[in-house]
Amino acid sequence: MHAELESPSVAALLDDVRALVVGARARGESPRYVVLPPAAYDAVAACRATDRRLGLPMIVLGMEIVRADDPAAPPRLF
Amino acid sequence: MLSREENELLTRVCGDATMGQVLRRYWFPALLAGEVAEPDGTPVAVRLLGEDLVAFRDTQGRVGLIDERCPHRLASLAIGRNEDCGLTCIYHGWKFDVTGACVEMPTEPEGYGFKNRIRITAYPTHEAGGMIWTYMGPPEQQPPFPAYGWTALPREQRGIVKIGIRANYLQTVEGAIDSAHSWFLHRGSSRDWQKRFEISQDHSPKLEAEDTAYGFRYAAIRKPIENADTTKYVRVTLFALPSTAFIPPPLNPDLPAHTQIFVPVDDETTMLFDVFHSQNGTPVDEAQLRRSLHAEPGVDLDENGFRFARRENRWNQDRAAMRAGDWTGIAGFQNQDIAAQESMGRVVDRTREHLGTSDVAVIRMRRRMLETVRRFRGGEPLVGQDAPIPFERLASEQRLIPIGEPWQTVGAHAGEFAAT
Repeated sequence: MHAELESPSVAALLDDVRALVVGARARGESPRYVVLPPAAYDAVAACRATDRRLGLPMIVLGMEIVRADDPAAPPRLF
Repeated sequence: MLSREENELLTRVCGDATMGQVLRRYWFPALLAGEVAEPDGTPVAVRLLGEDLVAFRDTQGRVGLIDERCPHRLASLAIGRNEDCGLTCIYHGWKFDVTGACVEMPTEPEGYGFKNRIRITAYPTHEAGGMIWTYMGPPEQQPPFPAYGWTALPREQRGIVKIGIRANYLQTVEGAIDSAHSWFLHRGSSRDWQKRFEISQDHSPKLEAEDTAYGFRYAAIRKPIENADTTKYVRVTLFALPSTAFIPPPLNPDLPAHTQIFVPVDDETTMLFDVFHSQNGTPVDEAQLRRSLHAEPGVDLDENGFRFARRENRWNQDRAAMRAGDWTGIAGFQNQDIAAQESMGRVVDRTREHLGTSDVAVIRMRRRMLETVRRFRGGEPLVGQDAPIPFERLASEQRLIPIGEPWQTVGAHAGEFAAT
């Protein structure tokens, strides 16, 4: 079976967000949320059906995800 | 966490699955050399990437790795006769050499050339480091053999334990490179535990990863107990695509270093080649190694190299020992790893994971694997194949360094670090 990738890479997203989180913590910041462009948000949300059913926030690396309006915006923390 | 599509892409290795095609473009061990030690000895059935093969050493000492099925009526050549430079099917006498050529077809009349039009799949083999390695990809894409330094060590300085794991290769690879687990899963049972504990008790190391030509390497950087203001304790693990992990060698140089190679048998099964190699010439006692790892054939392992300990018997976990203070109740650090990996299920659903920032190696490995898939699809050289790599110099390392020194200086024997 050929699995094809049509949505953004969640693997790459995690690597990028991890670098943001580690960098922020190194600066003494304590981010709790990560803003993701819509396509990335949807890709993560597709993995989080169980959490949603349990009424839990959808998180990546401990950061709650927030949907950005701008499809070209890079991930950012706050 | 991976998307469902990524998880499928990275884990499926059988048939025409993309990852299987990618893995075929690398060399990996198929079996131990000792399993086919004797010319004209007993053939050995080998399953790789969902393909059933048979290995045999012919009269001249050449090792063949060919399709297990005789193309006539598909009887197994693993029960064939190994003699006179070929493997003969006991059903009707068709005979094949190490190249896959049919050299005898006694049931058919001579002179019509039938046997010259029959050939079975045969893969090239290379004997090194006590193992028979193979390359299963297109011949024109065959990369140089990765001649890791330990493959050249004398036999007595090397011990290899081959163990089957009832889980997909990716989760076994992830177990090897996930250094955070050792403080918990292997509490008290790692060979190097006490000595490491004497240097540092920092349970929250700073973790950093760096891509390399062969894959990536990552560092766990801890505050030492002594001189924490001036030094740092760095452990660097190397990962060479597609599935080789160089574990930081023990601080005691008399103990062997450790390299793990994970070979996909099929989508749901992996063969681990656990290589222990001398750091300073001290002999490696393989029999003792097997005892200490609880990996003795017939005692701990069945005839196929899989542990008797398995899900159905809860991996022989001793709950009384746990109540008495043992963290896992499972003896042997390899058993502990395998129990954790198998307990996740044959092919874990990574959409359900909640990784943390400490999972840097797992995160980076998946990205590098997807990168090599992307290159494969684009017709580009795969990761580890776009430039010559001094494989013989690859080595992980752990040591104390001055606090101002970059961690990248550690485990950089293959030129990974260039001072600016």
